[in-house]
Amino acid sequence: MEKKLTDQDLVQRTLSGELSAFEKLVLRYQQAVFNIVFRILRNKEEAEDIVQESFIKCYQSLNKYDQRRPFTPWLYRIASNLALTRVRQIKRQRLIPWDTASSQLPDQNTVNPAASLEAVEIKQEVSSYLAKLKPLDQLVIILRYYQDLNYDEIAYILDTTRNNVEVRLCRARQRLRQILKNQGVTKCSTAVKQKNSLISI
Amino acid sequence: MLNCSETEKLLDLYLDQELDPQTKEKCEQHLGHCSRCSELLELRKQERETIINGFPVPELAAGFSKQIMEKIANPTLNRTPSKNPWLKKWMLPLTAACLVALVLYGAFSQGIFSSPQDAMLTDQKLEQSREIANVTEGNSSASPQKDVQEGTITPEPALPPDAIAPDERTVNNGSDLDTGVSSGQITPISPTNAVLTPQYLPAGFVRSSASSSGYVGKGGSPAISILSFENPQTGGRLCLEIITVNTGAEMNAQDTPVTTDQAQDIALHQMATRYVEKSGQGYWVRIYGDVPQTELNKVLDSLK
Repeated sequence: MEKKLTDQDLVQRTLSGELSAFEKLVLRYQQAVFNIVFRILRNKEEAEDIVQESFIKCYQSLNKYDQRRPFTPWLYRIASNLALTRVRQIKRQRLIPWDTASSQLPDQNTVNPAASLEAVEIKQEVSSYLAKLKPLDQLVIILRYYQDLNYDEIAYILDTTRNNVEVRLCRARQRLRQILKNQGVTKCSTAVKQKNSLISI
Repeated sequence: MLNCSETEKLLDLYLDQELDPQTKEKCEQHLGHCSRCSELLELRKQERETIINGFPVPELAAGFSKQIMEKIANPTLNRTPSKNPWLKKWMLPLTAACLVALVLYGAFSQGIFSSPQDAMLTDQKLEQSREIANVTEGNSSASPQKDVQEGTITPEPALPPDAIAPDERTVNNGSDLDTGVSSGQITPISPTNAVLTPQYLPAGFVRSSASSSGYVGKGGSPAISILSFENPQTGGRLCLEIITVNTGAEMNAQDTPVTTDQAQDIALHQMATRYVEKSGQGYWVRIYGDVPQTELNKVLDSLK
């Protein structure tokens, strides 16, 4: 059985001219990168463009990557910077083509249509409430909650200190918590949960 | 031992597993016996769950990685058009050119710069006014005493706008601002065009200029004609304002726009007002200047 190659192995092979090694890295992390970028941009086409651009930039500057460090934070850093730049461009152009349809994906775990609809509404709301935060605060929340990265990794991606991440995360949480509380989303979520449990019974 | 307030602040760090072992232990000790903080912890977990489950992401298409690898293998495909219009090469120069054009247009329209045609017109007007000044001087120097003695006014040709006394400009500009007169143009008039002309003037006074303000006002606002007189020997001045009003209308502040300079003139000098009717049309006449009140009344009495 072939031993699974580490990220560093694949980087080494890519640097030695093996393009298929980089393709493995792309396959390994494309969805993770897309998860971050999509949650920042909330538009599928825009997010796909940024993911492609991220991997191309990653490939072009692979010789600058410090192989003693983990690969993913470095990749996320590139993607996050490109996504934030794109957000600023969109804001400047006032286009903001947020793809609300893409956030209306049905929850496959729910069976009851009414409960599913309610869950979809919550998903829409969470997405829109997250959008009310500053782009950098959104990114901190995304990296912590959705990518499950620790404070040090987030600090590296944002090119800042751990303390700064802690403060920014605390502020973003307070703001988000206030929004959720005002909209009663937490209660709504509980209601959906209860409905789902009743259905399963 | 931590209290509730301290524990509450640490709950997010506790859930993020970012507490150092000692603080984590203290936090757990407090949570072990405090039901309120335990409930708060559950609420935080629930919030976290809502956020995490509340924002799904679509799956990428199967061939997505191939697209990336194609672009890496063939760098020419990599050049996607920029979505930022500011990065387009022609956008910045075009914007700059538009701004420059806008500024220049604004400057010319405000008269900061004058076009060659304007300059030529101004020269012509200046020349005209010089000629008129010469004619007036010639007339007045030829028989000034006669005019004064007979109490008649020296006829003078129409004055170009540039030849109007500055204070009259102020009056007319003021009327535009205060009464909503549509046209700010000062129209020079000759004595024959003036609706009312005084047949008597105090000794030594001759007409220096005459003008009227053309306009369309709200509900028939009055037209204003202004006749100015001066005594070349003493430097004294007289100003006669004729305001067209509805018959029997009372003179009020709206009918008689007064600028700050004009108000100062009125305050410093004698003034007399009178309502006059001519051919069924009413006029309010105001006169003020460096002469006694009786002289002002005589001028008003002589109006025809």
